[in-house]
Amino acid sequence: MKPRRFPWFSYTVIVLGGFLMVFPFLDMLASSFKGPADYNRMHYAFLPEQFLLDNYGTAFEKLKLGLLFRNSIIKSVATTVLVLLTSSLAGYALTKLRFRGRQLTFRFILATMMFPGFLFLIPNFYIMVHFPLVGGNDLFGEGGDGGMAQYRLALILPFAVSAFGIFLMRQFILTINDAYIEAARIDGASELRIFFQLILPMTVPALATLAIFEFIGSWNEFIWSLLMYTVNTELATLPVGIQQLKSHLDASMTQPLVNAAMVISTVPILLVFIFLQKYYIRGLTNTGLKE
Amino acid sequence: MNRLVARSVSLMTVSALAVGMAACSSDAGKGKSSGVVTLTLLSHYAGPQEEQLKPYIDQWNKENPNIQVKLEPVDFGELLKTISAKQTAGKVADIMHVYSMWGGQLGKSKVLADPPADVVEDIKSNYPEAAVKGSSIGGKVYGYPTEVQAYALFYNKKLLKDAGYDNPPRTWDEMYSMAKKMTKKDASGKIEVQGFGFNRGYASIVDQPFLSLLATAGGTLLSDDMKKAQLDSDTAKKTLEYTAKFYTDGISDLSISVGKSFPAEQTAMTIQAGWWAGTLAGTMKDLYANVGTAPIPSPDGQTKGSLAYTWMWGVNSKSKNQKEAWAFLNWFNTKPIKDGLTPEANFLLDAFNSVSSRKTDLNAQKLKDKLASDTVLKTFTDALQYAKPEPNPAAGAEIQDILYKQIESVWSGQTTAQQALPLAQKDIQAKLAAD
Amino acid sequence: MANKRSKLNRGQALTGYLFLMPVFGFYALFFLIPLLFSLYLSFTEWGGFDLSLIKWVGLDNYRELFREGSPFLNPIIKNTFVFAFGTVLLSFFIALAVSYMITRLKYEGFWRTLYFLPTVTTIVAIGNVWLYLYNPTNGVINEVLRKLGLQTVRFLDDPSTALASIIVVGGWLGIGSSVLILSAGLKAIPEDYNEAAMLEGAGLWALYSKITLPLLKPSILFVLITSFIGGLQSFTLSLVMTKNGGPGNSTNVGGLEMYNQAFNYGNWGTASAMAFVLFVIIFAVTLLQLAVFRRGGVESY
Repeated sequence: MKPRRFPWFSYTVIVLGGFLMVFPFLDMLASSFKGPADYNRMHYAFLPEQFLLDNYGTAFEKLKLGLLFRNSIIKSVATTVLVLLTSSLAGYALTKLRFRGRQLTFRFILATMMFPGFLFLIPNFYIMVHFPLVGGNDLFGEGGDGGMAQYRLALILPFAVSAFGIFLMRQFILTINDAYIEAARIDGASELRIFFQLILPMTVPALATLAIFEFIGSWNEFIWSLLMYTVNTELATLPVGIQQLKSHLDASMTQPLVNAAMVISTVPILLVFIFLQKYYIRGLTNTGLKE
Repeated sequence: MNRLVARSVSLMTVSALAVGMAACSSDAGKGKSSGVVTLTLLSHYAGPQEEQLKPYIDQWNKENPNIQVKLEPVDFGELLKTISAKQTAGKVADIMHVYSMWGGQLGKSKVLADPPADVVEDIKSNYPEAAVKGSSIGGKVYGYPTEVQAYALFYNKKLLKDAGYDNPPRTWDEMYSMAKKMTKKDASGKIEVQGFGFNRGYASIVDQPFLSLLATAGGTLLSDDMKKAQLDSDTAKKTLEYTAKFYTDGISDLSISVGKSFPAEQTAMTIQAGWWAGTLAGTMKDLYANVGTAPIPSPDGQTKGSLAYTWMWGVNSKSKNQKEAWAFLNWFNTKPIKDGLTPEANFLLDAFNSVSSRKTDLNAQKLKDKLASDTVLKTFTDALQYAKPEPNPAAGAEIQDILYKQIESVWSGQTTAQQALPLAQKDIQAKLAAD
Repeated sequence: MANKRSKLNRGQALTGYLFLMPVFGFYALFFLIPLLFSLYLSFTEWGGFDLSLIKWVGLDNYRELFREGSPFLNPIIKNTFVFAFGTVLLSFFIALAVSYMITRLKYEGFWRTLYFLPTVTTIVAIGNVWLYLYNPTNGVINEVLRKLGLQTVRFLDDPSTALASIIVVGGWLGIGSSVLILSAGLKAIPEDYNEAAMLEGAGLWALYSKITLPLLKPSILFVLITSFIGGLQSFTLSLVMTKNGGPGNSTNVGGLEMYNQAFNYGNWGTASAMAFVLFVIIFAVTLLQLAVFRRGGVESY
């Protein structure tokens, strides 16, 4: 094969485009060191007049950052683990186990993807706060104060199953040769054992993809958390906390503070992605969103 | 290899369980222990105002170890949403600071508890009629009136003087021509100083100055019985066209925030409520001496008009501690604790440079002195005498938003007063009819 | 033997149902019940607090949405479509070009991370950062325009540019995930296809349009459908950047209006009716897209 020419054009486009992608973040970072007067001056300047680290300290203090981080981490980790578990179980059942209604179940799950999330926002809100026997509610979901919204579980439950996750796992498990499973069955291994010891290890690349996808999604999820927060302020996650910080303070004077808070909340998730993106891409390629 | 995977899987399961447990155990077991009642107090007093409110709450909490009050501040824009979500969830705040405009909506859904008879009696005999009306829904009192605020003109004496004016405008025409003269633009045509500007950002802060101007021309939003919208009147059209002219003629710029530019002396005149004086004093420091206030100009220079809105402290009908909640409110609104003033009066003075409307507070020497020496304060207490109360129909918040969106469309040049008002009239009438 | 076989099958079926239990439970609780509840609500008037105050009003809510001059149809639904189309077009074409170019560069992972940056960031942060970039007085975009001697733009404060401004942010935001899926699709195309074609002397463009694009169709379908559905639903950006869809209704979209109707005005019935209308629209659009692609020779799942 003849050596390709150096792709000048592609480099130029990608670098320029990349700059446009990154600039808003650099601006966010730079402004997080500005003082209020510096931030509000008549003409824009990228760099702060002097670098103030105070914003970070103040943001930490005003934001109750400990609580926000704890909520965000618990929400994201729990959601991710639950989705991985439910998706792989379902993905396996839908491909390698024979039972009546299998195809129908799969079609149903696919169809649910077409229903927009906001259709469920209102009823799910009602269901969560009137969850029977939780948070002071009686058997009929009445009489309590906040129901499920008393607990962090309220941030997690509505995201415990993901149709996309099931779909992804099913597509991946389809590519696993039945012969392995048959062999294990003949050896007398139980289905549970086959699933946990044979199938799961093979699906690690797809699981990694799904895990990253879910983790990022729930870390950044906003509307549902905001609703739960209005019921119980103890449930604030990072995005909600930042938005509230923004509206509690005189915006013109304290935007740099908000910027500092945004930097604080963005960095962890960015690191997660940077370190794991290799697996993410590989998983996406292998699961073949093709077929 | 297999063992490793098995181990990691079991680890995963265990951690899922652990996280689940952690998620469950968040704030269980709070609330009533050993006879201590904790009251939550939901208000839009957030940020700096929360700091001003806190000392009085702390004082109560110290004196009443068995009834502890916990503040729950939210942004004004989130308050109604929060009340509504909490109400549905049953996790209600015991005490709420409520905007009278929402009274109809909250009353319809029975959110507010009936006050004890002595509280009603106290309110009826100690507050001026406008305040009592503001804290009533359908003629029935629901809580202690707090901020009763009217609108007036704020202007910057220095900017007026620089342009050769010694006095604030008295008529609409004067205000327009003065504003035009004071507006300064740079070479590219960007406005650097605007002669006049309206506040923007949410419905009430846009609607109320507009309705105040409408009042100076003798118009109102709704008929007195709140059955009919009045936006089809000539007065409404004239007023909306007048306000829009500031934008279409390049005197004001929608993208300039008055909240920022007035204290920076880049906006010469605006229409705002009395509480804003407190904010300005805080942000402008020495420059606050340049701030003047006057009644809102009217078409003929004679009529006085303004709009007054009311907030009140109410108790939630679903609260399990209503008795304690009224006990706290009773203390907060009626017991003199410092300089002969109630905690509420002290707070209003600290946070907004506003005056309590309660008779006992007004009789206190401190407020008398204050009123005698503070001309800004006087403008607004005078305005309360002639201001019209803001109506509170059941669809109050929605009607406010309808008007707000139409006003903004006109100001931004998207449509004209001629087209917008009939639309607003029709939509508002439909909402009124629905109740 | 036959006996053993059926026993095995029964065991498999049992395990299958067992494995799917969490999924069935979840969909019963968070899909079917809410769906029916919400459908019922859409025919009622309800302030949201007390179930005993629900009032059946038949088709009134829907009639109100479709009445002459209803702001829901114009501009809210219109805005919803413009927003979805705008963001999808913007992000898709850019992503198509970027994903292709990236595969030809060194340090692919690095470049991809750059483009994915917005996707891993919360929309709250994105919205706030762009608010500052768009700031008419001291935002960087207007500063650049001024330096170039051009007219400055009021972006979010001007109803004629407000929606477009939000679309740009939405498009910018969506590039990353589309790039990711498209690059995954590109990687799955066997290298020898290209080499064979190259040997036959095909140019780059011919190569791209004749071989790469057709093979990429499934990924393209996936990207278009998911991002279009996402675009029709999304309202967080409007919420964060304009709070209420202003100025006027110029940036108000279906989801935002529904949210405000329920939680601000206490019109849960109207809100539910809006949700269903939007759902029907999204459903129809999705079916349409699938049909178009099927005709184009792509089998869907």
